[in-house]
Amino acid sequence: MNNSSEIKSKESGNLNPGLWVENHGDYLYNYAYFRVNNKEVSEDIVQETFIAALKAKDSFRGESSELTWLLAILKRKVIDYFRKLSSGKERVISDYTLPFRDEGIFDGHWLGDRLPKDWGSDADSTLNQEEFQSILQVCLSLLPPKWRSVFVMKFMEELSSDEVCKENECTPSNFWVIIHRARLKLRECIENKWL
Amino acid sequence: MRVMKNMMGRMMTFLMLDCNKATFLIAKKEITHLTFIENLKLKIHLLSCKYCQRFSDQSILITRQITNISMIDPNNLRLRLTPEQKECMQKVIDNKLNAR
Repeated sequence: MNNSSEIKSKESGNLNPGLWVENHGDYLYNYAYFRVNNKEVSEDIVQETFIAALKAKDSFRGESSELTWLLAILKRKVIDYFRKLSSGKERVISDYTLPFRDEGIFDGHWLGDRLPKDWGSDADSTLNQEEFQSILQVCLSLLPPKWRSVFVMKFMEELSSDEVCKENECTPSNFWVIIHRARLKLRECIENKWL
Repeated sequence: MRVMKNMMGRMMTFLMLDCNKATFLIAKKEITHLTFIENLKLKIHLLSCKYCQRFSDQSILITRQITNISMIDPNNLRLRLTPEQKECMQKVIDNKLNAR
């Protein structure tokens, strides 16, 4: 008796697709939005996640919660979105010019008009956290697609560097060049909007 | 004495970084550990370059805020789907469920 009810609950797997949108829609929507920074795209990703989840329903073993399982599917969709974005024709290095001199005895030193400025303590205070974050989000979305993709996968999805390289078709040395330049550009973008 | 000076000079050149290379190591440090030599080179550079020190502080702040953005608190969601969006989404699911 006990046994059969256990089996039954395992078979149904505790998935409740009739309540997916109500129970998890907003959470998944937020998760997608704060990565792709676009409401329509986020909505599409959530919808695609539900459809993919229905198809894979039988593979749910009940070892994780329904939300954890849906989130794993959504994460894959987010990575797919960035992978497609990144495989565009965009050149890896783009036309960003480094903020450093490239000749003379001061070769490799900051250019006088692009020295990092003091952001003050405001940028780090909890009071301004939301404003800073929204600027950061805008600046992330302004990075060249491949840099953005590498950055989001590395720092938001926390994939390993190897995985990030695989998804974005870049060599390890390429990866470090992208990370370096993306940091430089991101920092300058934030500074221009923040100060 | 001259030999000593020569050696010191060589060691200094070996340990010197320009800002381009220093910021590269700062960016790398946000992801992985630096080697002993890389760390030493960076520390020496940062002692004398306030701009790279700034870049370093700002990099740490940026990384922390990216992590903050990426963590979604289920009890404090900033965005909501509209009831219409939700209804539309659930309808797609229900249709697929019923089609089985």
